[in-house]
Amino acid sequence: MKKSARAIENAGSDRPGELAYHAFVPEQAAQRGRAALVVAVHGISRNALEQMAGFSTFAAERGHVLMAPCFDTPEDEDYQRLGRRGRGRRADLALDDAIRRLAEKTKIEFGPRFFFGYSGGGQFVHRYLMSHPDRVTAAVVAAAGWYTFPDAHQAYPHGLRVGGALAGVRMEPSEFLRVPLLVTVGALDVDRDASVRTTPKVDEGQGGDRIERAKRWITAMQAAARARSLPARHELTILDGAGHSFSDCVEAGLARASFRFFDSVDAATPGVFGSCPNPK
Amino acid sequence: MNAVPELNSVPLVENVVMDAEFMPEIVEVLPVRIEEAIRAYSTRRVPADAMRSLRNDLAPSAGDLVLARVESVGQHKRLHTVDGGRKNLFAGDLVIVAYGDRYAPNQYEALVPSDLRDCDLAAGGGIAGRVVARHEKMRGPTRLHPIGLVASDPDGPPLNLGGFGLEPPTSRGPIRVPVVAVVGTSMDAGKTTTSAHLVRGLRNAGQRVGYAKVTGTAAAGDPGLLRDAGAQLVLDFTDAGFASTYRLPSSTVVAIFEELVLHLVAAGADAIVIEVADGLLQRETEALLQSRTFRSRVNGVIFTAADSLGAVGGVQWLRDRKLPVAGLSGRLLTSPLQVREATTATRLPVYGLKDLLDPATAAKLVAGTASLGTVA
Repeated sequence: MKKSARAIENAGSDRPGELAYHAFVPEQAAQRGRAALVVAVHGISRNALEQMAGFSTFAAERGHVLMAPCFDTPEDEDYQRLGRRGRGRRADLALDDAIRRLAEKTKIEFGPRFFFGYSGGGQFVHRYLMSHPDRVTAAVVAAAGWYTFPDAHQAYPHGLRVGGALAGVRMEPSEFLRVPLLVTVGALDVDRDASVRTTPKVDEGQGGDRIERAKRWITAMQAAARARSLPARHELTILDGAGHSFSDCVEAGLARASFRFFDSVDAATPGVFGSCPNPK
Repeated sequence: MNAVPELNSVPLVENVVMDAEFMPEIVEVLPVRIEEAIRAYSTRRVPADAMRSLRNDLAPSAGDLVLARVESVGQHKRLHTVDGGRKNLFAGDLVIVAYGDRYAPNQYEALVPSDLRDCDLAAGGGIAGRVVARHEKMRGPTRLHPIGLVASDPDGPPLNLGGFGLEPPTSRGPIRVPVVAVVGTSMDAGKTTTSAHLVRGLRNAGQRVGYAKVTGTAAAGDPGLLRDAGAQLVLDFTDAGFASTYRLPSSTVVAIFEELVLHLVAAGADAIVIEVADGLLQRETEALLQSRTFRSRVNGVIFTAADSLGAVGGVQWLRDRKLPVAGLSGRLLTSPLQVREATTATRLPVYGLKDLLDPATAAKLVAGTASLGTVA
């Protein structure tokens, strides 16, 4: 059966200073007035529309609202690290405000909130998750260049000691480790190009390429959860044949793997309303 | 029947030789009840129920909360508490304070230590640090024995004031509310007294006034005075998540100023009075006043000085940087002759405390600064 949708709208922002975004609203979500929300965050190539195109079919099948924020102003240069104090606007709060505006505009109540981020967007998403675990139902972190580790000895953004860098944020492992998390990276994503952070501290602590860094981070997250006896779900999927390219990763199954992960969390989470009645 | 070991057969550890430099601090032996500690003003934004664990395996950072025992009472005999009151200190008291650097020319300079060894109560608002310089009128500091950094999770990061500051407003556009900055030659020039009387004067004129102390070291006294004076909303850098602003990067100090002003605007203030601690030559004050953000947000500056030469030098400093000076005030007012010298040299109006309390004068002063415009 063909599923109708309200098409992709570029909601942009109504006022200067507000975070712009693209949104895709399936017809059934608009009719029901409630839906799951999938937020897809771009990397430094600012390919928000490419992510919309890659995910809209999957969102339409499930009746999920899809949103892709655009961190593309001079105020957003630190968005991967959430916009530390003195380095532009707070990216996490700007996104929260954008989600609120989208809900108001569409008159849709968002239930589960699934977050996806690719490359720089993956950096944003895992730091957003660690800062606001209560706002994330599940997350997919794809091909992030480097990570914030669950390590209280290190200062943010390497570790959890945020200090005054992000007002009102404290990263509590016992809270953020509970959020289901899938890390993905292309099997060929081993180049140390200009977009990979190659400082000695990151190389030594996290590994030389995105695959090694993903493995070390997911291992650290799993270990931290085990140490607290938390029933956490932290998974890693390597995408065959894909390098550091969003389109190549989608071709290798990134979108399918991400939505399957969201589906499984959705089905396993009691109390969330039926956002995924019959996913393919 | 088992043989009872002879006393001298029990292994002894007291002869172990340790390098004092690397010897770990003795961990508190007795069970410690965090909830019984006196919580300092600096920690007031941190809920007591978040304080569940202690960590003594981490080095402290500025803003970290620490549970400490008072070893001896020195200069600061009372601790400002979370409700703005004062608690007399006795040796043996347990306190929860925040690590922070302090810059106070008439009191102490203190720095956050690199470990959890004994340190000093550097400010009555509840700042733990190691005093490295002191004014000669000051006694030795009250000494603290840190027991552990306060955390929520046994393996989580220490609670830090930064995690409990107000979130910055998402809107950062132009503002239409007049902002008057009170600055001065140094500590004790009369900035807070001037601010309080200006706030009261504006309040007398029927205005809703917001006040923020944007730099300095955590203390309950100034915010309490400004609330008593009638400010509708009183904020300081602790509301932005900092124990003090000494040694913060300039960009952070500017961001704190911006956030506090925007919060006061969002709260519906008709006029805003901000106070910048210490003197123009203090590093963070100098950086803030020269920032583009400060110049774009502040409509007028009232300069407070202790004497006429300080007033003349300070006004020249401000004018060289094209900051809009609206008038003079401060301890200078205690000497009519020095007032005459200062007004002759600067050709600026001088505002006495009675002037500032007068609603017409206060309202006219602020309206006048609005017409001075900003110099972005």
